Amino acid sequence: MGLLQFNSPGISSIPITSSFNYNSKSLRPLHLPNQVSLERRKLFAISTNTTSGGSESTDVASEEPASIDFAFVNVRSVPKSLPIFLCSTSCRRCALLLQSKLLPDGTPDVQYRSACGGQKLRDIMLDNNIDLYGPYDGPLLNCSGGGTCGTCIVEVVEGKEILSLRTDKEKELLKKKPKTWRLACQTMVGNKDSRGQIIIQQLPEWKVHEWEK
Amino acid sequence: MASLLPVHLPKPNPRFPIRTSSAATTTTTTTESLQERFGRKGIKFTEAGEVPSVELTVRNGSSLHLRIPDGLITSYKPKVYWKEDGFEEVLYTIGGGGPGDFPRGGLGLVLHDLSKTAAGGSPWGASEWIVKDADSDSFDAVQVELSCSNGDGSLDITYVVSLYPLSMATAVVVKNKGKKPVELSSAMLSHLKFKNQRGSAIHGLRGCSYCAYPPPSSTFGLLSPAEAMQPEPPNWLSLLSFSEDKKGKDWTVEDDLYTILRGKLSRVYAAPPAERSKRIYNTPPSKYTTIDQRTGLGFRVIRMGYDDIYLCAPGSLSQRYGKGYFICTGPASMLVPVVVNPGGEWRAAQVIEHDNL
Repeated sequence: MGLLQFNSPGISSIPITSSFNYNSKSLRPLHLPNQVSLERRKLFAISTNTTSGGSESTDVASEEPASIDFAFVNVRSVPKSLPIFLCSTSCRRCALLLQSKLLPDGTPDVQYRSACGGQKLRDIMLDNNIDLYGPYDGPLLNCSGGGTCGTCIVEVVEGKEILSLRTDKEKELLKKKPKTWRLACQTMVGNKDSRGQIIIQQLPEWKVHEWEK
Repeated sequence: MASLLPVHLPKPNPRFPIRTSSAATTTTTTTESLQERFGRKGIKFTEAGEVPSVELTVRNGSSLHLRIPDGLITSYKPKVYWKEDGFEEVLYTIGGGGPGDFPRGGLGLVLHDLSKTAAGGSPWGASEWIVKDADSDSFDAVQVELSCSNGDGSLDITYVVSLYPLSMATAVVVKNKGKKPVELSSAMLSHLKFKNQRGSAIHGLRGCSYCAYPPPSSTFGLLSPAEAMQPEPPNWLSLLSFSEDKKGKDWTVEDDLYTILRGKLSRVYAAPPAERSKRIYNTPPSKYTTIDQRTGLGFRVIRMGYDDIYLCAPGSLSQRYGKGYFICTGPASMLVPVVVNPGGEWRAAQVIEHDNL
């Protein structure tokens, strides 16, 4: 019976990197941060009148003070993806910060936050209790925003137009890394009245799935 | 034949089926038939005081004990130390020793159908479970699936309990086969064991908003909703005011890196329901870790599909239940009911894992 296909790659000891190529059609098209509709059961109807692709909706956002929505996708520490349900659950898209690891059943572990623009990404993440440094999160293990240690790497999945461009320090430290990777302490997120959504992958060096373009 | 036996029968002993009442005989054959149908390597159906139960084990020795009719996990002993017998019981359970003694504590699922009320006026709750399936890959993963249905068959509820070398998972899948949408309130409550009251804390809830809230009522909960909300009798601890809950439904944001569990508290960590109607709101953390300073062990509880996290510490009330300390915690969806439309499905799960090895 379809109890939990034990012969699925999740259960045997296959290294996690090979088994997971998370199909981005589940994660990519970033609709307006319809956070509630991304989860399966919706209790309150959210009035979003945008449909696909657009990163801003002036209708919805005009009554609220300007803020940027974040979905942070996390990395978990368990190497395996465990089959928990009978069949894998459908994806959970999240608009802002994406943690690079997946929850045990294969869905991404996302945290949503909202913040004002005009700050460094590092400040936004630390103020909102998002894990930025991972194993380097200690008193002397990082340079606390100086732009010299290269431990605050994040990957920008969506929303890079709101962020400032790569600085020289970043270009130097992230020379060999993909172009979507940024240093959170050097990245300025828009200005005070920016609106939009950003998806950030935390700790991309440890992530287990790929974001397809 | 029953009428020939003397009136004062000794309590039936399952070891001697000839003398037992028919109920016990049925239980024995049920256990045997269950073992035949579903038994696998690592899955063994036994009987604990006349109640059919199943014992799950994996290769590294971690084991889990699940009672079938009420779906209560009474024991989870993972391997946490590298030494020979390095198992440590994670769950706090009392009772369940002899027949008729209903265990309390442990890990159980609470699922209430709020749109339907049972005879007593309280909402219907999932309580009678039967084994639907079992699976194992004979090394590192075993799984048992229990199912339950409500009176008129409109809800099909499946409870999947899985055991892995370093974790265990409990998942619930609810399918609405009826014609009307149902509203559910659910929680997976685990009573986790701590060595003593002083060195217990939770890490990972900082930044999440919470408010004082009673636990969902359940048959296995150690603290009833009323008891959980009672303030601690004043003593010198309350003068230091460790994690005191404010009265009323005020929402506060957790400031501390570690939530100390020394005092009595009963809270739900979630996004306030009023916030959820906004376009975007801060989501509660998906996982948190329990820290026991005495044993040095930590267990991570991961929430999937649920909206809130329930946390309760008994404070000095724990002395009533026996030695050692415990807390009652777990993911829940109790502030805002979950709506499952006809033909729809809802899934949620909890994983308890550790990296103490």
